[in-house]
Amino acid sequence: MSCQYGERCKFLHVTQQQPKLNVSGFGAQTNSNFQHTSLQQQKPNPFGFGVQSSSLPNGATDFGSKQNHFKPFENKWTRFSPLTPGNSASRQSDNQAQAANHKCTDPESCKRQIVEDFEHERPIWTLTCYGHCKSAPCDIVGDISYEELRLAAYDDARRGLSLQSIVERERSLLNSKLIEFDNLLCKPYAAPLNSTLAIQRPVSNLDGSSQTAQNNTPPSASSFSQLNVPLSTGFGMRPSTPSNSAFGQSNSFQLSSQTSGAFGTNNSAFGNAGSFGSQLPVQMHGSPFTSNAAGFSQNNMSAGSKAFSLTAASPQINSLANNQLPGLSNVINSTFSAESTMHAQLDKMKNDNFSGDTSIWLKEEWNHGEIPEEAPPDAYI
Amino acid sequence: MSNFSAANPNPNKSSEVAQPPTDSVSSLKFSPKANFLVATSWDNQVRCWEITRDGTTMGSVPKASISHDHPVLCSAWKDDGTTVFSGGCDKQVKMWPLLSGGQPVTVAMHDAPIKEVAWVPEMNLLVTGSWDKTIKYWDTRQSNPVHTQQLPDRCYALTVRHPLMVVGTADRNLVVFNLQNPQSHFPENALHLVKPKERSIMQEHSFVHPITRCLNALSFPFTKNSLRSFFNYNAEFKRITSPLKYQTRCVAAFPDQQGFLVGSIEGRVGVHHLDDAQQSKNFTFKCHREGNEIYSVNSLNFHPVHHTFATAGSDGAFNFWDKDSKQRLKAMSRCSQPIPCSAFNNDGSIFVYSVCYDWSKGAENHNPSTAKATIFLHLPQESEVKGKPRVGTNRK
Repeated sequence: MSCQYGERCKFLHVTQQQPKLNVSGFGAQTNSNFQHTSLQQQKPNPFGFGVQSSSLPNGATDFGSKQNHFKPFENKWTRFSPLTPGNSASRQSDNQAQAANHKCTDPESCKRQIVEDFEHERPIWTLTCYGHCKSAPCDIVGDISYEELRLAAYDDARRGLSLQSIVERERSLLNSKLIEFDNLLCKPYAAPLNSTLAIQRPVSNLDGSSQTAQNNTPPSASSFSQLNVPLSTGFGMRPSTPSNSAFGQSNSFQLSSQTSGAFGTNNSAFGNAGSFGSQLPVQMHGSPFTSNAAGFSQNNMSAGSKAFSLTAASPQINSLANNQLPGLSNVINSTFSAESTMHAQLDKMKNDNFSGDTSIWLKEEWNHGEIPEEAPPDAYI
Repeated sequence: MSNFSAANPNPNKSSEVAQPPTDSVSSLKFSPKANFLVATSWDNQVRCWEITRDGTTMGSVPKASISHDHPVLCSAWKDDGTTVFSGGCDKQVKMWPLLSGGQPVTVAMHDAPIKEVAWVPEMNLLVTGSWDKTIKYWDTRQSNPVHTQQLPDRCYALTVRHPLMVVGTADRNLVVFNLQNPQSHFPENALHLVKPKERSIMQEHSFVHPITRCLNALSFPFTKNSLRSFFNYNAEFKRITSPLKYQTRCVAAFPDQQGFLVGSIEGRVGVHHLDDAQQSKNFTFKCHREGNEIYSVNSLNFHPVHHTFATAGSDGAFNFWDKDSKQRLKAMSRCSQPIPCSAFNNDGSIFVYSVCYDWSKGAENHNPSTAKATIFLHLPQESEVKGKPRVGTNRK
């Protein structure tokens, strides 16, 4: 080591291009510990969910050759330097540079970016929004997260749907989404209606004027149409707790607040409740811990205890438990939900006790001294 | 290896936590004061273990648990380590004073499942984020939220380091909040909305009068859109669209609050700085990919001491990274199932992660009869979590 500090030097003196990663030994370590199944006989899932197996597909045998993919950083900070296209080694960084530098000035280049993304950057999870230009609005809207889909499946199972029906319902969702992606790919690129990105988004429809506060462009034309899956019996999802009755408790099936709006449930049910009342009995299940060490009190493990207080549940929600929701209804319809939320909040505001006339906030303009001193209710913001 | 062989469920030789949940784990949180671990699960339970350590030998002692009526999605500890908050698909948050053996009580409710919960000690408030497109702030002694904040879409991720709060919603929105900005005071960051000659008036009045009196002192007419802008600036600091292209999965605020990380389903993490002057330091990097398979980043956790961070993904791997030197410090071996959540303990000496199905391939990959959840404890070595200086002559 030629450095004057020798061993004491705080800097790494390396000669290789990718020093740090090898110094830490990660490459060798990962390989040696890698004992994974290589699912060569996996059935391709035509719907994009991956393979039908309970374990993840991974190519243990391919890992070595794909080593480069596990060094994402090495190309990252070259994004500011001019890159020569066609250099396969820096293809990844090319992608990065293009993605980073893409400006939506020319629909053709946007299209190219989309084509490239769909070729190289298609994640396994398909129920997603997509934007080709970072920090720009989505070209495809309608996110569904793992948890939302899972909850819908659990709710369906609780209602007696078979696993097969659930899988089919999910595949329908997938198909709709794939169509959206295909459309974006095949049709000439048209920029989405510009979402105001900022500030005016929450107030879109309050006074009836519809601002372009939407980053979900054609929600009513969304391919997420009503999916009416006929209920079938047969499959009972394995109860996850010893006492299964918890599943039958109340309706928690909501993928978006749209549902609550549709059923008229609004904030006032909770917001104006004077205090928590105990309306729902608490289901106390036995502790899954068979051996309990001393230390914590075990009060909360006694079954049947009703010592908890719960928020007053909306009576409407209680009645929902008895309604049969037709499977996965409108999955994402943000505009509708926004509107219904707004209407719900308008209702709430009428009930709220304000000192003044809140219609002042509906004006288009205020003259000197006209703005009330108290802040406007949240819904007007 | 062309034959199907049993995948190693524990390739990293981590310690297993005893009596794990019977269904997938949705969140893992260590107490800020001691090595008590809480896990929430799709089996509706919230469990707490005491994690013991004797040299390199880890132990776990089940302590207590409570039930929700529906799957539990999130959890948070109070800063004094006495109380746990848990929320989920029953649209409630329960406050559980487990250290004293107290009963849980419901302290928050939403119109849709609660995806995220955080305790903000600086404000003595609980923050909840829900699929009903709102954030609510709660004083746990009151039944009504202190404030309800509308979001552009469903809350998918949340991180708080006071006064910075970042919320990731569906459709790639990221909303940045300045929690120091009380509702009624004029926000400094909205000064640009005011005509220059009026700015001094606003600043003069800003901490004395409600914003509306300030506005009344200005020249008029004042249009509705501008007024909306003011009040929205009160509530939010900034709304940005994700630098990533696909669905947001997780966010984590920098320990120094200068920015945040965002992880998505596309095997990518964005490093974003809040200050306009630091935008050149923003970048994204790929991770959790295997060949052509692109997995999601499910969890982002900063090391409490070294301020490096860990990512955990649907590919069943977890990695340690240093954003300042832009290095991956360590890639751990892939487990046979995804890792939906992970956490460091309060001093960073323990990294906990769960290996269980996260629904990343839908219902068809879920086998209720064989599904299991494992919670592993990993003792990070210094080389894995301590930042490495940049190669070269420029000092950090």
